[in-house]
Amino acid sequence: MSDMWFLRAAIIGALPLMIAIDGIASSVVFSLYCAISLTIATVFLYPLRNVDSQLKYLAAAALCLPANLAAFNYMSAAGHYTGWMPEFCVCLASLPVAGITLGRYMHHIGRAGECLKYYFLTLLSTVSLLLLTGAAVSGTLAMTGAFEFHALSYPGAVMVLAGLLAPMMKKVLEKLV
Amino acid sequence: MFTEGMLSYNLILFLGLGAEVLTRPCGREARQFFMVVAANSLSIIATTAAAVALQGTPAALPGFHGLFLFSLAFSFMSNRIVLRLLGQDDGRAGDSVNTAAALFPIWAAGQGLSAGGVLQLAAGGAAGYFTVASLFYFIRLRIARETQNEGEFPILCRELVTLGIMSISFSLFFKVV
Repeated sequence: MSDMWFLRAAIIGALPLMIAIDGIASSVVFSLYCAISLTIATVFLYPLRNVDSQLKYLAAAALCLPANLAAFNYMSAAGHYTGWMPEFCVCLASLPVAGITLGRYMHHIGRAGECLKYYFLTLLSTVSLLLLTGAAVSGTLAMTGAFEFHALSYPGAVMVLAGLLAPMMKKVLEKLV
Repeated sequence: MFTEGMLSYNLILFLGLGAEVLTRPCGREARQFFMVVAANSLSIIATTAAAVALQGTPAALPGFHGLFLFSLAFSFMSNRIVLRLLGQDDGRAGDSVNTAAALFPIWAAGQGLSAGGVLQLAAGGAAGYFTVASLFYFIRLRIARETQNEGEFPILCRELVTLGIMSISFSLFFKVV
């Protein structure tokens, strides 16, 4: 397994979500959606870890959608409507993070205890990245306001942010592994 | 058509690159890489065309959520078929996780265009995706050559920052032009 593969997977999976975050409040909501999706996908894929079928990844992503939709409707009814199509974007994030990556590595890891540990590390990485992004966006609100009007620049700035945050997160997560 | 596809550069950059394209270490053969990217580009057009063909038929998709699930499954399947036909199917599911093809039909449906307009948009998006992925390949190759003694994770961080800066530059260029 490559070095810090779960952090790598979290970064790749969270990128589409990071551009939809507009502050700390929306990052908390997105983290909730992510936690739901990753948990559902992992629980579904763990018993199937030795099944050699790629359709299981699609099935895992499809299973996440109703849960995300329910969470989205609940949050909207409570007045916390935020982000761009979070119910879809989170499914797309959970597919590479929990599905392809964690789901594939569970075959190699084997034992339930180790799989659970890596599930928590993956979840922690993804949620931390989203919350840090939300904090950064809230902290630089005036600047991101300018970026929003140049909507094409905003994702690039978020990508630079991800590249700068990742080494710091790696140092912290290395102590937990 | 092509301009609209390129103006969606950031959408494609974040959503369009398959999980395996982004995460596999950059020692991959160029031919294999570009075959995967070509398959993903074709699936953007194929998925959008299939979604357009289904609208107005008895099998019309129920809302955005039905369209999302259909697009996800159809893009995955079309990728697998094209890769098998090209002889590049190495059994890795990540090559077929094409998030642009999963979200493109939803985004195109929201543009209020005719069927012909949507297909033109899809062709532009596919061309933009192929261009972005090609640029990405050469950037990754360059970074890999410059950082030969470092691990995969630092290389990923450098790639993210480089691509983010490139994304901002492109966006400013198109905004000014």
